[in-house]
Amino acid sequence: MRLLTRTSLLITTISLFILFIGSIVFFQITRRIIDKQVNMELLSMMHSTMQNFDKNIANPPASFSYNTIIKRISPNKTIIPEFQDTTIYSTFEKKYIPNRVLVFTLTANRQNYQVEIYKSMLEPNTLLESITLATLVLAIVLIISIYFINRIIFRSIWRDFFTSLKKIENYDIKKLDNITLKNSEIIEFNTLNQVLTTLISRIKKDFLNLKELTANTTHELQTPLAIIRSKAELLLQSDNLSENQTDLISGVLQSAHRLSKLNESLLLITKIENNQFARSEPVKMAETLKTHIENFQALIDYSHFQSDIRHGNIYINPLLLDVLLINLLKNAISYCNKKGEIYVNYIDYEFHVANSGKALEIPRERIFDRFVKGSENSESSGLGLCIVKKICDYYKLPVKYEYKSSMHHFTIDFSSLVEQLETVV
Amino acid sequence: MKILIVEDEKELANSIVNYLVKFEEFTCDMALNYNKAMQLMESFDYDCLIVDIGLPDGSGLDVIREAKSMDLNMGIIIISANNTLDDKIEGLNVGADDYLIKPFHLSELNARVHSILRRIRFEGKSVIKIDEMLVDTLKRQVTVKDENVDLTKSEYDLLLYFLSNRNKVLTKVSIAEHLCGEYIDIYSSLDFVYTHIKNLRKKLLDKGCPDYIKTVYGVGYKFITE
Repeated sequence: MRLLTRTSLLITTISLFILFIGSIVFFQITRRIIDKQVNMELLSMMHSTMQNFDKNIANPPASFSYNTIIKRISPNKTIIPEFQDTTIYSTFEKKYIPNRVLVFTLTANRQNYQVEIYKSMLEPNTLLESITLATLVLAIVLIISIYFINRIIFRSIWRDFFTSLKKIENYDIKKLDNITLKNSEIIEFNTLNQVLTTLISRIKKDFLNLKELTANTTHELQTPLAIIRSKAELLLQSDNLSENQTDLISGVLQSAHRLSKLNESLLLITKIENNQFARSEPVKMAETLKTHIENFQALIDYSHFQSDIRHGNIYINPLLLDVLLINLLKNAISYCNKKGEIYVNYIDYEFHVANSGKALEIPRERIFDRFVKGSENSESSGLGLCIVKKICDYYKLPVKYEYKSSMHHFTIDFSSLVEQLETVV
Repeated sequence: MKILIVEDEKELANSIVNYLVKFEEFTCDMALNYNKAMQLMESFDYDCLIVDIGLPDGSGLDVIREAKSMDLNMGIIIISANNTLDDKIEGLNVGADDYLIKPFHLSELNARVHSILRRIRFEGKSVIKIDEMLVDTLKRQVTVKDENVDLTKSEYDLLLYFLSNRNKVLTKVSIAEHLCGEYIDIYSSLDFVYTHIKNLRKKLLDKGCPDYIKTVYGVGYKFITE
């Protein structure tokens, strides 16, 4: 839920609740006041009736005025004055009208009379209705205004916050830009901005350190590895080595070789991430691809291999293109089953390589992750496809993986690099 | 043949020297820094220069520039830990003949040295002779007793690699990398090396050559000529 929606909803609900309770209380109080007023009026009428009543009259009239009724009752019966609510049919309005009645007794000539004074409640009720209606209208107007006022206040108060949020959202640590958050008049937002700026600069520093460390470590590792490999290779050339000894040396060599390949791949990934391959140039894709396929030909004699390569130059860093193509071809060859098939196509700037093979044992979406490898190829570094993805990401090339009819398909669309080529030429 | 190795890592330089001097035709000098390299180059004539780019007191590229300005006719191989295209292009632009990325196989370095020396010392007309087998490296042609041996490109490259590293153990990985380029790291399918060796051996045996190629169990192969 958005902040604005949430606040509006809360404010509206609370105002509705308060207004609801308030209206009920207001209605009750008004009604009580009106009730009291009516009762007072009736009582004062009772008093004037009592005072004006002639105690010696033998036959009092049936009524003093239009709203009193006098009835003779038995002499023993006295009625304590009391208020009653009733309805009386009005011949004028042709409907029952609510009335309040005050009933009391009068004594004249030792005769008891029951007096009823009526007071129409029509007027006070109408008043009450009008008041209620007015309150309701006021409440609705109030809620609507609160809703809009809240929105306006919200926008103006949180504006700086949203500006900062947008900036942070668009911030990419890998681009190593500096971030400047606008100063706000609100202290809390200013504090937040300061905290964020400090945090980001610290993360940036750590990120840079880590990158530098990776680059330095991998680079520095190459020399000792070269020494280990060369020493082992020399040792292998010694005379009179036993089979056991050559086996041991071969083990050292193989591990050192694997380590150096792994290191090379990591170094390459770091370099791609560090934008160290900025220089691009027009490349004859078809020729490059054909050269690599020729190089691999020694490997793939035993596979059924087909290629269809058309011309189409692109603008790219040649080394990265080499690495990209080699890794994809290598992947196809490594995971191709014996006597399997490999297809390589480059048509309309779309590079497509497919190889037959077993379905993946790893989740499909993890195929481009680091150190993810198919089980049958435990010696592979698990970095090949990660490098492919890094290079594709670097150039924003769409890369697609599919498995259909027992074949793994990789497709890369190079067409976005063609436009760049045209702008360069 | 005299070779100068300019490499600041003493151990690596030692290994290279040790490997190369096993070939009777080579003598090697070693320079651990730029100044020593310049000194040696001024005092002696070398046929080949193996130079690292990152030196403690200068750049290997400057060593190459100096060598070129002295108009020394020698083959130059750069060995560098830097695998970027710019470095490679710059190295080749200042006059290097080849560029090898660390870490490399000593046998590969040796093969490249041999190849360069063949090119500059014999203007490419070098013919390698082993018993009755003649390998013309210009025509890329192999004959045994005047009879042409029909080899594929991979088989020819393999034979030349063996000839450059005669009587040395060549690991399967180094053969694979030599045939397919440095990016190859398909350990699970090194069978193709075996396939090529089997074919090459068979073709040579068919023409009456002795069985030069010996299998070194678990490691690789050796081309024995004595």
